[in-house]
Amino acid sequence: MVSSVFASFFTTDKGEIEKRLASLVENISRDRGEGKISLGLKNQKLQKMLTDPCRISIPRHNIEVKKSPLELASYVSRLGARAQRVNIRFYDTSISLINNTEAVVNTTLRAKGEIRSNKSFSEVEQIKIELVKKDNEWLFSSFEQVEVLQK
Amino acid sequence: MNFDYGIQKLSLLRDMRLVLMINKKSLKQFFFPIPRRGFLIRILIIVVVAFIVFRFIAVPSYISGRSMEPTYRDKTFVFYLPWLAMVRSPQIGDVVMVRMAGHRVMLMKRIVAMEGDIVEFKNGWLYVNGKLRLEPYIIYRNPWQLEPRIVKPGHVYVVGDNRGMSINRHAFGQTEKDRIAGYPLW
Repeated sequence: MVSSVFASFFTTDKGEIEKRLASLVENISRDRGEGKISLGLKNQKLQKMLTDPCRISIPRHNIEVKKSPLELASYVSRLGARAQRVNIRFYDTSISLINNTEAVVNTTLRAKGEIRSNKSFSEVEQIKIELVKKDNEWLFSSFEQVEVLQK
Repeated sequence: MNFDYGIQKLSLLRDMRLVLMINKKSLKQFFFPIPRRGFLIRILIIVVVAFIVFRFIAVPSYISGRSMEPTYRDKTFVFYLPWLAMVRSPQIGDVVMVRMAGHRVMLMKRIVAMEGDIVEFKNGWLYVNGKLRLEPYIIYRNPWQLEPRIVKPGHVYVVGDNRGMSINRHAFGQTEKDRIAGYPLW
């Protein structure tokens, strides 16, 4: 009781967004030999973190779509199923609050892991994430790849 | 003769013991120094100098990836000079650090063309403004094909030295000059 009152007074929006990002990383990452139940739970948690619809923009591949949380979580699961291990990390994260209910995160995403044939992969992208606050919870509403290099 | 030898042996042993004692004392002092004022000031100076050098002058970086091979190998270290980006204008042939959202994760690439230049790849060979650019640092070469494109104002065109990988797997292209965060030391 005391701790929740304390937390409600001292938890800032930026702090909540940081926690949200940590949770996103946890629910996208995948450990070697992780069970189906655990992956299913992660999928459900991921769905609850997204707005309906959620925008995905990847200019390099001319992708600009709006998907439901279920569709997106399923897509992440399908991608994850192709890998034995996926480790996601954010670097240089800056959080800007536009107003009380909207925020923008600019960060560098690094994905490392191994695919089924034991080949390792490592991808780095700068991404812009938009969040909206609904019912006192920050939800991800958009993920956009920032083109650092344009072929 | 034997007597003299005995004296010499004794003095040698004594000297050795003395040296060992001194060394023990200095070793102990080195590893467990008495935190006197002078010592603390020296430590503080070392920490401050190390922070300034490794944060602003020559920043250590770990290379992860093969896009700059063979010039820069995967899983090796390099120092980069962030201050040089402020005083030097980028030139063709320079290896640069391209920042992303910040300075913790960056891309390391080589500048091959400047703003206004037309860049294209034909069978893995780089052409700038229609002329073949000979690049002595390239060892591996895949038959890359890329249609001609103009480098936008305020941009530079950067490519990695490892052209042996597939064009789709290699991150390259034009980027804003402002994104150049530094130059590697070697």
